[in-house]
Amino acid sequence: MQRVVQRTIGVVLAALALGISSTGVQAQNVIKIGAPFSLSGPFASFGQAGSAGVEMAVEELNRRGGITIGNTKYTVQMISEDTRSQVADTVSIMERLTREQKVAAVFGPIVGVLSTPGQEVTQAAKTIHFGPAVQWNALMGRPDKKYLVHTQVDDDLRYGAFVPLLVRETKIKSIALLGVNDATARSIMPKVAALMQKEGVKVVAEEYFERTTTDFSPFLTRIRSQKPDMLFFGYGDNFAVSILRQGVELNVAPHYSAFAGTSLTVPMQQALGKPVDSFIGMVANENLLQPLHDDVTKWIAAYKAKYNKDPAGTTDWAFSMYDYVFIWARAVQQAGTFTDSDKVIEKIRNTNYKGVLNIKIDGRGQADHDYDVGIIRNGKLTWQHVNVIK
Amino acid sequence: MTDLIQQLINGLLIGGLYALVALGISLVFGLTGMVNFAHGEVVMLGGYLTFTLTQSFGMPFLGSLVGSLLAGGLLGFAMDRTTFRYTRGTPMNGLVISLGLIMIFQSLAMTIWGTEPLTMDVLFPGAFQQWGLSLSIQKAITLVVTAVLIAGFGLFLVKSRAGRALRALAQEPEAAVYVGIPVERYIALSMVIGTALAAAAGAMFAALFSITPFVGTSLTAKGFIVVALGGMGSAAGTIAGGLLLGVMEALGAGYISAAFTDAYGLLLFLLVLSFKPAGLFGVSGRVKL
Repeated sequence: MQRVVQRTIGVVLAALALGISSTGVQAQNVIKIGAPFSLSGPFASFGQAGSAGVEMAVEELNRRGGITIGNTKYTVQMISEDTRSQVADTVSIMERLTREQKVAAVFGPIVGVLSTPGQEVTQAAKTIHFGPAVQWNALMGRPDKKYLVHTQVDDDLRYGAFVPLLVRETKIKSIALLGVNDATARSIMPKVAALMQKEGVKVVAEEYFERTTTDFSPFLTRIRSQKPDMLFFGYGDNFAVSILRQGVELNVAPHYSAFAGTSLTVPMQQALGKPVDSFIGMVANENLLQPLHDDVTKWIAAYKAKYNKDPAGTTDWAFSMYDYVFIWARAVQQAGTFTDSDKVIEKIRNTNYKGVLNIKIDGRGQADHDYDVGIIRNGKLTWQHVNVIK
Repeated sequence: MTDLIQQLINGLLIGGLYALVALGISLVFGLTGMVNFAHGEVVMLGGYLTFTLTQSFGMPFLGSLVGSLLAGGLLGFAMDRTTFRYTRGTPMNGLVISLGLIMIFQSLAMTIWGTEPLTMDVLFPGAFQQWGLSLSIQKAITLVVTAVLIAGFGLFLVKSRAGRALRALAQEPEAAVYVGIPVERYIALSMVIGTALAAAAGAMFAALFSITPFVGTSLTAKGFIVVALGGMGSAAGTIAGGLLLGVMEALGAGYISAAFTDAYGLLLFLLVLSFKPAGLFGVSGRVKL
């Protein structure tokens, strides 16, 4: 009996030892990346898109064989975290990812009100951090923000191309600007106003509304009294659809335009069914409604196969993450390390990458890429691809 | 002048919805002293149900409104029987449970309808355009339905036996017990009516605006402002408070700035409570339905 017990203990110990050693081997061959996104809460539509972008990229990367450094192959492991759309949660998740999990890079969140406080943690921890927040425009190039990669087109470049196109297409003489009262719209609107004035268009109103607004009619009524040729607004599908509907009901203007921050799929579909003389929508990345490139078509097919559903209005935010996982992986391979952020970030800067997006990253970590503009006229929607990369 | 009239119409429309939401809060609070923070989530679920019934099943708007109203009442009954009935006498427990229900209802909505904002197709195309004023037929219909529901609720409280019993319970609970009013049954009825009205408000909200799983939170906050503004437990005060809040927000956003829409309501709230601490129609220390 005693021998049986001793043997059993021996077998259990041996199994445990093997298990521990195999876990150890696994851990050595895994590179962790953090993916903190709003999987719930008010920003969930953006967060779920961003998370899907990282997840699809990581799976594809591992399917291709992962990352090779020297003679060792590594698998990439995505550590998914739900920020619940809360700043406090985001900051504590960033602390956990950088200090406990020791991730090699962080991807997300999408929304600037979360990723901007979050980057304070990643930059202090010297962790490479990818994000599309407009608020990051002002951070790029600062010595203390060395490990940031901004995955959205620089505002000056984006609107510098969009505003002349918009004026050329509609021949407007006056415009009213309407944006949600947050740092993103407050950063964009003055730039648009200046560019409009440069094009000879009079800005008759610049209005900001609270994020909780559902009834836009009071200030749309006021804007109507200014008789603008165009109402330019943004930037979420929920705002865009409501503003468009209520604007049309009140006859605010003959022309409407909505700016980046959303894929605008839903507003576009709404505008098609309404008596809108013209509607020009600028999407943040590539449009998913009528893809202009095979790469986007293939990506949509892969998305449908994985998640068993069609892309939603904000799914194109996945593009603010998807290609960047491959850019980071390429940099890790080139640098020959995933722990030395200084070496990896050097390989990310001043590079080009052709994935679903055509991306160019400058010496500050600012990534620029082409984007789509949808134009609705007489119930017909056409798309233009705007090339910002020369 | 035209703009002012347009702003008043805008304010009355949204104010009517606020009143409808707040009536349920006021009714339940008046009878139980319990604050149900999940009330806005019932509005949200009513909106989603109406959206589904009209957009996916092709039901007419008024039919789906009745469907949502009934479902809202049923939900209220279920909430009361399964949770709130066990918190009578300890309103704080009811409050905490209602916070939990918010999470459950929001997660349920996210699972069923997703997180993308949903917007109904225009069910009643066209608009009344006269003297520079504009009112879409869809808005006009929701305005009329809101008025009918509020008037119906008022008539129910004043004319029906059940309404009189509810008022008696709110005003003199002990005396109501002595004359044989079954308290528990009427408290459950107040929950049913309150949530039915909330779901109906949700139906109209969905007909006019986009809905997400998170719209309930701000509507609950507005509902509480309206109840406090009108006077806790006062139905007439709640209706007046709702309309006043709607008009105040419309005038503020229309003539000052849209960036402080919520602040105008709070300003009005502070102003009224400075002069009438019990609210417009409230009497200190008493609840009056």
